[in-house]
Amino acid sequence: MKVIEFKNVSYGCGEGNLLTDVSFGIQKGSFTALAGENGAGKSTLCRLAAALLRPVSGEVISNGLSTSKEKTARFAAFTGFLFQNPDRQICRSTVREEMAFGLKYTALGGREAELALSETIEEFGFAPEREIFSMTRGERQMLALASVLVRKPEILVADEPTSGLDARQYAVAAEKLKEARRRGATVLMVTHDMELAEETADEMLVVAGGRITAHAPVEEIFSDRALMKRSSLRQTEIREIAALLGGDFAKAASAYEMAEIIKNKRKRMVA
Amino acid sequence: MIRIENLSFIYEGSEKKALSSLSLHIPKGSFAGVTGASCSGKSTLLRAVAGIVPHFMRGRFFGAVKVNGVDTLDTSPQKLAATVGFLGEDIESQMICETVEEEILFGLENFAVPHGEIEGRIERVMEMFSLAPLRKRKISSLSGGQRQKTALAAVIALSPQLLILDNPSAELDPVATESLYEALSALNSRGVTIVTAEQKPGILCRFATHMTVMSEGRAVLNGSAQQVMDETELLRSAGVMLPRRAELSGRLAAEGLYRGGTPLNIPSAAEMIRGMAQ
Repeated sequence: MKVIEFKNVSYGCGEGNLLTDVSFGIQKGSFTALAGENGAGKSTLCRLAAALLRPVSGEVISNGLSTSKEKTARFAAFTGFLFQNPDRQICRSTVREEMAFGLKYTALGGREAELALSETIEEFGFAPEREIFSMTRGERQMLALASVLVRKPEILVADEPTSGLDARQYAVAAEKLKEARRRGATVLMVTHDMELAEETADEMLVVAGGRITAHAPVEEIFSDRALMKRSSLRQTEIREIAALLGGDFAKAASAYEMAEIIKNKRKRMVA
Repeated sequence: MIRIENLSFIYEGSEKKALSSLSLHIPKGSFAGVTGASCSGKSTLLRAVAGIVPHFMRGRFFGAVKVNGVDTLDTSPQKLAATVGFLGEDIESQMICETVEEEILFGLENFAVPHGEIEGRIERVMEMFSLAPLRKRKISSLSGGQRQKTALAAVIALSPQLLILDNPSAELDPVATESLYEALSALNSRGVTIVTAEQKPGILCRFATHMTVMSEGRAVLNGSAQQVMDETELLRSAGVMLPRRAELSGRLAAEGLYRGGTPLNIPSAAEMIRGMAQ
């Protein structure tokens, strides 16, 4: 079942089309990575999917509702949206206030909401009364993500959730995104990080010049090297190394597989 | 060029030292890369070099920062800006004009760049970041990555002797990141001293002549890119995200297959494996 559907969607705001005749569908419970170069239209597509923008022509259907016919609040009840820049999202002074703010607009009841709040604060390792102005960009990014996830959205649209995060924050964010999906949420995530896409997503949507140029399983996109190059995407590092080596190594997709191939080669040499 | 002596800094309203007894020397002509976890002091270090700490962002300041022999406390960020280009992490707060062209022009006019030079400089930075098609575009209509490119172009157009960039690739796609670092490397080879902070050292270690790892306000590791990237355990404990090629060499070393250092780029990682499989 398709939970998000774009039907011949075009969008522009006075300076030419940012998206042109875009059509695709996203299955319920799937995890889709959205990739493409700067200015390709990724963030615009996300905002249309979350009903923060309306198409100029065509139609976006989310959970069976047309975004052109309903108010944004109707979609906000089941959609979580993480902005690329956390400062566009954060509107309160402390961690607890920020996370509680979005919770007010969900179906979660008082006790349930309180529990979700304290659990999420603990899982992310925040000090609840911390003043947001004293947080670094990475910490604000994590807070913005936590504030979206605490609402347990059915649809999660995340615009570059891991950019600017350090190793520990990245690991937590990646795990939380995977957890949202395991809980049954449908995830659409913009990323330039192909390692993250490989780790989390089943499908990838590639955007170039405001149009969809590919929509396929991640593995299939990675193996189309011409498409990757055309779309300014890079392979994961291990795949880049594998491609340079060629031969037996060409298909290695992880450090483990690479090590296994070397060991086998050495065994054959000894024999 | 930059000499930091026993520097400690505590932001106003905070009790925690953002920098703690930090001493660091960055020679003229270096390409210095700073990495470390969130909250490790990277941004504060860069702000201190540009004079933003403590002139704009106030707090308790101990020790000294000298840029070209001038103590940053004895001068102003405005005076420093004549030779120091700074792009902070929050680019939105640094952009003030309506269009891409105006944003780049603003700094050039304010620094009284001769009229005849201005167009050439604009064209050069536009080409560097593939911004020509966006020249007349409103900044409000740009994507995050396009804004980042515009902010970088506006700083580089001023031809600073010292260029300080905080997380400059945060919103860039991989191709734009590569172009940015190639452009920085070209500037560096023409004598510009560069200091960039990045959360991920994977790109830094390919271009930087010196690297510094920050943790809890201190420089816990200093050295050449190779020396720093070989300290994988220390990098991990400092919360630094290692590139996958470092994880690969680490795994191979753990299996007794490899004894060398961390490959700094993809071709040397491929070379490492070729060496093992022969």
